[in-house]
Amino acid sequence: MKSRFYLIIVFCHLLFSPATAQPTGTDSVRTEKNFYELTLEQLMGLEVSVASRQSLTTRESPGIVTLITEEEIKSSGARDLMDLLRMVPGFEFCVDVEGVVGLAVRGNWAHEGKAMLLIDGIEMNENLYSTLQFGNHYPIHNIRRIEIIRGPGSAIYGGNAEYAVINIISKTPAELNGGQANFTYGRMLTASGLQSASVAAGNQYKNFGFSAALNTATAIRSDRQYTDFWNSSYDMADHSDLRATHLNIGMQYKKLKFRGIIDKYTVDTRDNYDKVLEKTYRVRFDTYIGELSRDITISPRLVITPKANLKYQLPWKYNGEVYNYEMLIFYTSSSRYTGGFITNWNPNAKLNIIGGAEYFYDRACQQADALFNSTGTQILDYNNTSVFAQAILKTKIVDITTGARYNYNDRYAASFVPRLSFTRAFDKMHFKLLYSEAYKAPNTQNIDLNPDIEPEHTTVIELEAGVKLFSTIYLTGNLYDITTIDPILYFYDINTDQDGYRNATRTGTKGVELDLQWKFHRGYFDITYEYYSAAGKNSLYEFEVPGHKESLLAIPNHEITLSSNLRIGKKFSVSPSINIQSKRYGVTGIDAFEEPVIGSYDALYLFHLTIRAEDILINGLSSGISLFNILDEHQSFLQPYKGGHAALPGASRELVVSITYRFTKK
Amino acid sequence: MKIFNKIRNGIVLVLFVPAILILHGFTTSSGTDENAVKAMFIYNFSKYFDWSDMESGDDFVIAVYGQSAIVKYLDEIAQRKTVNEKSILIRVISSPEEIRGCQMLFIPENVSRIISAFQGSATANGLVLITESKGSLNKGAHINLINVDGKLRFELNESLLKSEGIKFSKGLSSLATGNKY
Repeated sequence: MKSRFYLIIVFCHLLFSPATAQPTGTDSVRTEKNFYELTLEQLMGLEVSVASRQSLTTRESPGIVTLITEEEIKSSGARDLMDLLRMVPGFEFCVDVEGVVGLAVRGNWAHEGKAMLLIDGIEMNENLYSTLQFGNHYPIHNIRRIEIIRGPGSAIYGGNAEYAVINIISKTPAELNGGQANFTYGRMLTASGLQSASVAAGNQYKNFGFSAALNTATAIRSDRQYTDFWNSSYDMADHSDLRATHLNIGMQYKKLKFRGIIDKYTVDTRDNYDKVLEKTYRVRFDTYIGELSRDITISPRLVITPKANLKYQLPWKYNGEVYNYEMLIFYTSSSRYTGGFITNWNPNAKLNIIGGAEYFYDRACQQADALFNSTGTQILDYNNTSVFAQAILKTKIVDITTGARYNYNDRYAASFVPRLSFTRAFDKMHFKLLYSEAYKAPNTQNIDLNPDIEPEHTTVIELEAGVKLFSTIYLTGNLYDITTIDPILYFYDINTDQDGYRNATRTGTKGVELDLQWKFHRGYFDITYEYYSAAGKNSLYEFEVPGHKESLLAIPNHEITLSSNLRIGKKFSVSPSINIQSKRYGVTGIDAFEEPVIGSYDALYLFHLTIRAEDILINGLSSGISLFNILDEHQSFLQPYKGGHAALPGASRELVVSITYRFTKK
Repeated sequence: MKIFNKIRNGIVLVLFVPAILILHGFTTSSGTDENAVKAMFIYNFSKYFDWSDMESGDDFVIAVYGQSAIVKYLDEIAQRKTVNEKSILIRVISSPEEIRGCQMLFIPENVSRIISAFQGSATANGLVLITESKGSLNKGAHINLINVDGKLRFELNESLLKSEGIKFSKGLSSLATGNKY
């Protein structure tokens, strides 16, 4: 172990040795006073450096933002979206039920409608429980960039954006300008891991553009043993398949745009809610979405974009194909019909106003022989209307962003969530003070199991400061305070065998996040640290850790991540990354009174390494080899509430080889 | 003991790997951000053209095709500067038909394929088309930004400007690195 560790150090030493001398330039001259007065001749005398897109957009935006670029995705060797999000400060993953893994944000379990995923502006959360499912899900080969708001986004994005918004932006037709294909094969210690194939093509003609990306992938959650609290066990290598197929089509004719997404995901499970099942069951998540929008330019300063969206889903579907009485049939569809518009108005160079309205009609339908509790029929439907506005005013002292959203639903109480932020970016530092209110809209299942359910509300205060330590090194730190009132919680009463949802009292966290970015000529180096505490914020028994008020179940209080990339010559790059998580607390057993026993799980040390080669043999052909979980740590997903589910093992050490061919139309 | 070793190893990796990098003398490229300079180039180009045909109430519109990091810098310039005493407006566009009312258009390298699609539209609208990709003068660009040994230069398509009747100062020709006559 020790020798292996020092080999890594020596490897890094040797690796980085050749790349010593980089060109030096003059100090930055882009100061407030003189840069904007330079003439063309003077500008021609300046040495220029490659721009850091990350610092440009994140420093000035009225939110705590992480940007992941196409180059970073490629160099990281990431297998899926979960690999990328694990390196984002404050983002963790935990197990829910039926083998499904969900997201936690800044210590808070965000699985059911508290974090929103958008792909090209289209919401991917399923509409019955509002969840996202991670692990070999949501492809990453055709992404231009990912913009992540590590804070609330309800004022603009609505009732599923209480804690975070993940916005994936695919390559446009002009950026694709041809096509690409990727094949990936992974091998864990005792079983095959990821196997995927993806193709994408696109082109922009004068008035017409199209893009299409298809990805199909098979993986397993783990090749280890799952053992429940009653000592039943099964080998996950053969019973934890994760299969995904994703098709994303975009078309544009003049200002008319269409986007269609088909996403099919399955999770094979034997761990169900707690006890190991006798057979393997397949839970399905099917999503079909189409959206039409058009930019209407009233004047160069005023653009109105109406849009219509149709979404049909079959989430958490188990239709009884492996029939016995171990697992209940769940076969419910959800249709959402959305219409709305967004107005973007720039009255002058210092003021930007966004406003809009959105209406949707949700209709859930029981496809099997079941009835909704609340209606006594096979149909549950409701109407929802929102209006929102945001203004950004740039002044000499500070940029001010203010906005609000009002949401009315005919099944639950209305919500009004304002936000206010002050931001200022100088040449070498920036500051942000953000106040945001947000809400989680009750979803179809919340409403069905409790017709009196109300939206939960969250208030978040964030303070961020950043300083340029050297011309290419930037340090950013932020403090946050999250308070959630009336959180919507699932409960199960063992005495009456009844389950449902209720509005509980209060939960939340406070914490700090630090990010040091170093972008140099041949790559980058990014180290983050995050800490959260629930002391004084959480009052929920379901999440608490007895004797450790600062901790919440399943989510480590401390985390350090390191992402790096070094280009060697024109063709090769090496990307080591590290993810260290402190000790976690979780349910380790059930006592004689059926009460959960809380224990601790060791800290995790996840080291990964990716080596890539570009343009090998022929132009456009690239290849990568990655080793994930180099130390073969026994990583596992813990349940962040007292639900009786044992720790779900994650992947062992996995070797992944990928090959990509990209061709450009001349 | 195992935990102690892991913590020690983690600390060593986190602290010593960067230290190794520093010891190996990673001197960093510290020039001015290329996009900031390009934005100022674009603004300065506007001084060399004749915009007297513009109507009095209009803004001076600089369009950028697609999302690009340069937009932020152009926005900063728009807040500070004017062209012929007109406010500058930065517009991000996604199709050729949106250039109506624009005076200048910048097409980033990552979408350079689209340049030829603007050829006819630019002519019809008296638009100055600026690019940053090799060979784009042959596709209909008027000005092409290039990086020569870490410094920005530009190529000028004089013949196209003249054939389209776009009036420009000779000073621009004298500064250009390459002219297409």
